[in-house]
Amino acid sequence: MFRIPCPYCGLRNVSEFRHVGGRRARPDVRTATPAQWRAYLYEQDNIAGWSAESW
Amino acid sequence: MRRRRPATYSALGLVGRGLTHRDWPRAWRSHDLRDAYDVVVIGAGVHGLAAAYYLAANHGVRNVAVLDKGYLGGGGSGRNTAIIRSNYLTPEGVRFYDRSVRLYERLAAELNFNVMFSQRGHLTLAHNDGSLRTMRWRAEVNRLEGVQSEVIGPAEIARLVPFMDVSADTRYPILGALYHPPGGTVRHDAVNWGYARGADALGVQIHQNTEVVGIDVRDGRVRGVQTNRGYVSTPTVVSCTAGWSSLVAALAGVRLPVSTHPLQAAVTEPVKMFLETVVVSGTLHVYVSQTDRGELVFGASTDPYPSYSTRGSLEFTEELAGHVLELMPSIAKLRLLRQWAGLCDMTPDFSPIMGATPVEGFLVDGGWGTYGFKAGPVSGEAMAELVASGRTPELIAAFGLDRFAEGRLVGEKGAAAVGH
Ligand SMILES: Cc1cc2nc3c(=O)[nH]c(=O)nc-3n(C[C@H](O)[C@H](O)[C@H](O)COP(=O)(O)OP(=O)(O)OC[C@H]3O[C@@H](n4cnc5c(N)ncnc54)[C@H](O)[C@@H]3O)c2cc1C
Repeated sequence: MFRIPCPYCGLRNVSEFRHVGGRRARPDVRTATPAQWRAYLYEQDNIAGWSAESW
Repeated sequence: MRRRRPATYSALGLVGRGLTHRDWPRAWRSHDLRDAYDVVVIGAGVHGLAAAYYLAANHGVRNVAVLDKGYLGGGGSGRNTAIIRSNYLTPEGVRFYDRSVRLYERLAAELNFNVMFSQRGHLTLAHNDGSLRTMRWRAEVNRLEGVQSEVIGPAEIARLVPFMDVSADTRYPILGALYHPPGGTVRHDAVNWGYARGADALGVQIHQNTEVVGIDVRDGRVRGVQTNRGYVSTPTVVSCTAGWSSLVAALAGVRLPVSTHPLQAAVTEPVKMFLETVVVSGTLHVYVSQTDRGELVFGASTDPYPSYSTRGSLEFTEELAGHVLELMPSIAKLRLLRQWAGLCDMTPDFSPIMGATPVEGFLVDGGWGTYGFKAGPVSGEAMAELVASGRTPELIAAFGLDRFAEGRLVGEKGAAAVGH
């Protein structure tokens, strides 16, 4: 099992975390168009390589 | 020697060649890459091969190339657990997959190749009220669409699967199951090879070890593809690249709502036939079936984070063994022979993405997640019709890429998260 260094609780088993998705900038809810909002919700970079993720 | 006609098989030929191991017929040929094709299909999995086959067989479009960066069937199509069913949750999904089951029923005759489709029945277990409710819902939608499915109780389950622990004193007692008699398994390699052989005989060229490294788009239109073997011009590119589909779409400047997760499976040593039906448990994250050779094939849900790695993990086998034994304690002595992984292109709604994209001439057939092998025939048929006629067939209209922007998701998670 691989382990993730958590800034709050140190090195922990991956099973204690949940993967949320690639890290993306959240559009401003007041100005975002529906198309921008849906792209934010659904589109992933999904690259084969190193990527920044939210857990 | 280059044969025009497909390799033929006979009992006599089998005995003769079995003894000498000479002159086994090649099922498909190798070619030099042409400068131009009417249609280029990327990916020689079941989807790409079926699309090419139906383009040639149903529409007479034969100047077609199928390009694969590896070997034929080296993606999910050679790694899946080959479960075929149509007991989905949405009417769009049920209609679509039902057409595929019907095509599978005739496939061996159509291709003159034994694909070993075995409709042995499919059971999805419910261990709590929530999943029992989903089973009832699915049974109703299935019935309305003319697909055979019913909810059955523990006594009936025990009759169908005598080795299953249906007692009430387990950690997750079995409350009932969705029973789907037309579901079953198929020999996945035979399906891939059968389509390849059929397409080859009709003039389609299959190119293995041919990687697409660029898609030439000018003025919003596809002009050709760049491969490691040279440039090929074509007005139409169909991407059937499953786990790699967002990388290939990116070559054409198209973004897909897809995230690639590994999915693992495992198989035991062969034992005498004891398990007739396919058994799936969403709560326990496991499913099992027995092959004609006697091995038990196990699968589960995807690894919980995206990756393009096809390594197996110990967590997977540990969890799998624990969960399988809750269902069938008597198989504790069986040994696992192999485990492996394949890539799955997961979509937000657990439904596929088929059809046109903002780039003219660039079509996608992807988002097959963990459930796409069963759809090979129907999506091949529909994509071929779309390419040949330029019109999106009714059966796949709900699965366009535009549904995400328009908020018309086809939610199949309740029918596809664990049972593939
Ligand atoms: C363990 C496991 C179990 C599964 N169980 C089931 C099941 O029981 N039932 C079911 O219906 N489905 C199941 N699936 C899902 C199923 O395997 C896939 O959805 C299906 O095989 C996808 O077929 P495909 O032809 O679209 O893609 P693939 O078979 O993955 O083929 C894609 C091909 O594209 C090629 N490619 C990629 N990039 C390029 C490039 N740049 N240039 C050229 N070629 C490229 C790859 O080499 C590959 O051969 C399972 C999957 C896995 C991994």
